Amino acid sequence: MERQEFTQGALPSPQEARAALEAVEQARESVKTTQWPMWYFVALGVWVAPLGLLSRMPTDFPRVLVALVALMAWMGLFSAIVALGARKTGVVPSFSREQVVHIAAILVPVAVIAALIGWKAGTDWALPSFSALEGAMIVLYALWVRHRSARSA
Amino acid sequence: MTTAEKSIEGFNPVIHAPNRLRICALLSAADQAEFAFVQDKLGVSASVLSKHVSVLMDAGYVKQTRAVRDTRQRVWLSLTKEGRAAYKAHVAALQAIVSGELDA
Repeated sequence: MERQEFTQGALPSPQEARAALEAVEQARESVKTTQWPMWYFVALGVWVAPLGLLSRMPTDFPRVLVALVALMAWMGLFSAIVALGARKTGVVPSFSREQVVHIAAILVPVAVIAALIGWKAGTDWALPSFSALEGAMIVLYALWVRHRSARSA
Repeated sequence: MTTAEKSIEGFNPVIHAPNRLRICALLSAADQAEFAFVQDKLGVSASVLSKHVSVLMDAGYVKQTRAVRDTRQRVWLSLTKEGRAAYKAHVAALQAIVSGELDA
């Protein structure tokens, strides 16, 4: 509750400033530890998995128009998944530095594996295998984050 | 200008009120958060939160968007660019006070 109002020129003591910084950390942590529902990550993984098939989109007219309409519908589905997840949790967290590092750490080996698949099975398979692996990794990452949160709780 | 003088400039009385600081901290970790989510995390009444959000909006630090879903109106809050900058400067000022760079 409101305990103290500060006016211009009246600075808090170091103790008050420390307590304020602790309150800041607790508030930020409460956003970071808010878990999105598992169905959201499964839906996101399923959404990402077939994206590599874009590389096999027809380029001849008028089939390209049909493919573009399908792509727009797919993008709309992504917006719907994110909106549903946000409504369920009530918050859309910003990417933290830690999450960016995790995403990069996942993307690099997935890209290497997809490149190896493309090298062995043909370059046509590189992008489809990349997105399929990425979709699976999204679900696995969500499971790992939940497992880690459960252990630290 | 000395480091201490810069830190004093960053101290923001509008943000520093305990509930408003927590609102800004919550929103700083999010792209946007629903009014009810912020209320739940702060453990305050809707009227108290509304009052603080109004102060932050008047200062240009917070903006709200309304979305109607299933006949229910939801209010989403987010920090403006100015709000994010003011919050960061304020936290830096608090850190300077703690580290003894300022005479409080």
